Amino acid sequence: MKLKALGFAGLAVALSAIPASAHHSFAMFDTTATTTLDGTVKEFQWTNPHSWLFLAVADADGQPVQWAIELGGPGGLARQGFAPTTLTPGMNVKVAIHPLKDGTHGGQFMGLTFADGTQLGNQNGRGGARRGGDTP
Amino acid sequence: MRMLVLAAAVLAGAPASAQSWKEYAYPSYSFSVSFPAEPKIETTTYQAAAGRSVPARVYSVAQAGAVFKMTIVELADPATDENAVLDHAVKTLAGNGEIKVNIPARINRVFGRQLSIVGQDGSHSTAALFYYKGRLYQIEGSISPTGSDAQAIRFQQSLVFTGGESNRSPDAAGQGRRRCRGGPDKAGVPGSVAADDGQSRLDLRCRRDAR
Repeated sequence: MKLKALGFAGLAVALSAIPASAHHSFAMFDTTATTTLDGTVKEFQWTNPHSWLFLAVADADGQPVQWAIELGGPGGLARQGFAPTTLTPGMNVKVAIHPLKDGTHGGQFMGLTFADGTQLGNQNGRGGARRGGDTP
Repeated sequence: MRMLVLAAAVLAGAPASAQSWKEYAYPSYSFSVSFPAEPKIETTTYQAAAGRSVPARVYSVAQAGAVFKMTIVELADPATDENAVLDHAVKTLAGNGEIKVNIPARINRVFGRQLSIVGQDGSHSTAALFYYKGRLYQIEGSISPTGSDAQAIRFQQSLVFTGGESNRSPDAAGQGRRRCRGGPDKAGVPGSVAADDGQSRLDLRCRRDAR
């Protein structure tokens, strides 16, 4: 199983931590936890109010399970270096997320590392892993 | 020039694979939501508290293993209590299932609740409830035991309230803004809030670039 729960400092992932903006609260995400998903891009939706990354991640039995990762809107993503075609189906990436509290296959995007080691986002810690709160 | 490049990136057409999900706006009901296909629209009745049957409008898409549904219930009685409405709606949604998560939620400036429910048959629903402008807004993505919850999450998170108003008084709605301006946490970081684990986290509403 390629799903790992790692501490923030233990992984060289760009903590671009693009928030889901003020559109809605973040109470559904466990902001005390960081999970890294190692998977294959199924779809990248460049949409408002949130963009979405659907990732196929192998479960314990090696079967692909689809994860829904919520990113910010296109405006904020563009400032972070994303473009509509930054992520295309078939790409292998590692994505750090704050997972959903209910244990379903979703999370709030934090950072991304491509197979060649390229990282996206802001390297100076703005929008780092420790963001948001549980209050709506 | 940089702004033009950014604007072009934002406005560039989405990849073809994203075209299946589209945002549908219903300004007369002050909301928009994304569906993976054109939703069916039906009028029906909703069993409110105390056995009252009230009109409701349902927007829905059913796909293999999943149902995406947005229900608008007319509850315009001024005596209606928001908590009673939401409590009843939670019970109705849950049925015989198990409520895994029932937490406060906010979309734009409208406050409500977010739920995660597991049915006795192993099905799963991710839902949110809001009482706003005399209506109960109920968004629910349900999947079968073998379905993928990713699309249900995608659906449930797409709700936007477009009226620009709030279901809270200006004082209550402004508490968050005041916290950003003058409420540093114990570490003295403006705009931070104490989370449940006692650590401080930046309240994203205080970010200057937050939407």
